[in-house]
Formats: sequence, structure tokens, C-alpha cells
Amino acid sequence: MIVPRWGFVGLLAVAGLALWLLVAGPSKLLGIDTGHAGMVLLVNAAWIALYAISRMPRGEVDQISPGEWKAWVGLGFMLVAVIYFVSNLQVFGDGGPWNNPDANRIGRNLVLLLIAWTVLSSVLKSRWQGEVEEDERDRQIVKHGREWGYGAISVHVIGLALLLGFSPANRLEWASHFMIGNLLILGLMVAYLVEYVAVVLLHWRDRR
Amino acid sequence: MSAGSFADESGAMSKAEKLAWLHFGLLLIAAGYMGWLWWSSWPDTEVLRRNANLFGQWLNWLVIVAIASVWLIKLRGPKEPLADERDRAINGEARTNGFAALAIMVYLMAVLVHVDGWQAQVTPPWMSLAMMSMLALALLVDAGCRIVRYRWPG
Repeated sequence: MIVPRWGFVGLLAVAGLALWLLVAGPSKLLGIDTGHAGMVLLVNAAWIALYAISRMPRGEVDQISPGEWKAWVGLGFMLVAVIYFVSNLQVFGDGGPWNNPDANRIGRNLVLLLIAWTVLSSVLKSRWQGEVEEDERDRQIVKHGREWGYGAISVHVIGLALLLGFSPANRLEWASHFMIGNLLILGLMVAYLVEYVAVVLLHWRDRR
Repeated sequence: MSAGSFADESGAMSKAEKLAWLHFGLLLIAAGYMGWLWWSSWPDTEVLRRNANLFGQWLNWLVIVAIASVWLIKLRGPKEPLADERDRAINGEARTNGFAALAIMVYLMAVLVHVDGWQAQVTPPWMSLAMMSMLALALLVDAGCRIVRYRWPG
């Protein structure tokens, strides 16, 4: 095993520190953007953990299907992305995408997270190279998960539409175009998060 | 043709397919109405707020018609379950397509609200109507996919 069991506890502590830097830490520390530092720390912790898992001997983790691993990785990244996005939602209240440096910084960090997710998924995928990665049961579970995601984005769109359509104008001062655009993106992210939660839970229930 | 004869004569059509046609018809009306309200009111952005009562009444009637039709299909058709394994597979596939359609529309709208020149006219109430139209369109895609899969199963 590349990382001993206590090493995973250490990685978890690093991930916790990274999450704190992302969500609740000061915006700058010693001239360094803490959001960016937190994202780099988190991505590295996830990379080491997933690399160690992908190198584990057969049998230790093989009772978990590739589809379930994929869902766990997606759930982890999407959860971090949603928490980070929501904790910084107030920066989207002013300006637009071209004249709001704080929003651009958050966008850059989210893109970094997306790239890391893609790379890490391919690292994990190499473990099952040449094997069947998805069977009928996995496809059914993914389909059910999508239905949950569909429901989540529908509820989000209806809620936002009712809020914008029936609120008095003086209560909609926060609703700049930039904010509404980003709330729609948040809805998409939450929908995919719900989809991953459903897929993970369905896999877990199926294994029991 | 009455609803009863529709249910009796179409032996080849399952209850789930009838429901798909019903959803498609009602959603076509809903999406058409909202789309028309949306485009015809441009750049008047207060149309939804001004017509809230009319909108509510119209929505109530649509729901009543939907419930009555589903009840009629359940009652008048042969004694079979509302959905079997094939119907569930078709529904799942259609919902996946509906989800994809809604996700694309939401993403496009999130990008388009930043376009310069639109911002003065695209106000929150107008966006609200656009969002409801998007949802109706996604549900229409969902129902349309079900009909396509029933009619052309290959």
C-alpha cells in the first residue's frame, strides 16, 4: 500500500484545512490568495488519496464498482465546488464578468477544480483499463440519479422564477444580471450534486 | 371522437403511451402560451405580474384537465398496470433527455443575460417568464422523446 492507513487521516486533515481556506479563511495570507492555495491543497490531497486507492491490491476496494467510485469522486468535487460557490455568492452582486476581479478569481479556482476533477477521474479510470466499467445495474442507478438531478434543477428554476416574477421591485435590488446568471449556474451545480448523492446512495443501498 | 372511444379503439396503445400523448398535448399548449406571452410582451417586462390572476386561472384549468384525463385513462382502459418495465425504461430515457435540454437552456440563459444591450430590457420579471418557458420546453422534450420511443421503438 502506497499510503498507510494513518496517512489517509493526515490527508483528511489537509483536506479539512484546504476547505477552511476556501470557505472561511482570510482572502489573502502573506500576499497569497488563500482560495487558490486551498484549492491547490485540496486537489493535491485528493490526487494522493485517489492515486493510493488506484494502486491498492485487488480485493481491498474491488467490492466497490467503477461506477460507484466515479460517483464518489464526482460527489466530492461537486460538494466542494458548491460550498465554495455559495460561500462566495455575495461577490456576484456587483459589476459583471468583465469588471469584477473577485468573481474572476472564483471562476478561475472553479475551472482549476474542474480540470483537477477530469485528470483525477482519468487516473482512477486507469485502474479498470480493459475491464467492463459499467453493467446494466450501474446504468439503471445512473438513470435514477439523473431523475433526481432533473427534479432538483426543475425545483430551482421554478423557485427562482417565482421569486423574480412575484417579488416587489424594491426587494429585487440584489438581483443583478450577473447574480441571476450565477444563480442559474449554481442551480446546475446543485442538480449535479443531487444526482451524485442519489447515485452514491443507490450504490450503497445495493451493496448492503 | 370521445375520450371513451379513444381508450377502447386504440388497443395497440398502452396506458403509458396515452399518458405520454396527453402530457405532450398539454405541455405543447403550456409552452406555446408561455412562449407567446414571453415574446409578444417584449420589451414589456411587467406582463407576468399584471396577468398573475389570468395566469393562475389558466394553470388551474390545465391541472384539472390533466387530472381528469389521467383518471379517465386509468378507469376506461383495459385492466393493466399504468407502467411496465418497458415503460419505465422509456420514461427514464426521456427524463434524461429532458434534463439535458433543461441544463443546456439554463446554461445558455446564464451566459446570455450578460450580453450587452440586452440588460436594459431583460428585467427579473421577464427572466422569470423565460425560466417558466424553459421548464415547459424541457418537459415537452421529455414527453416528445417518450412518444418517439413508443412510435418508433427501433
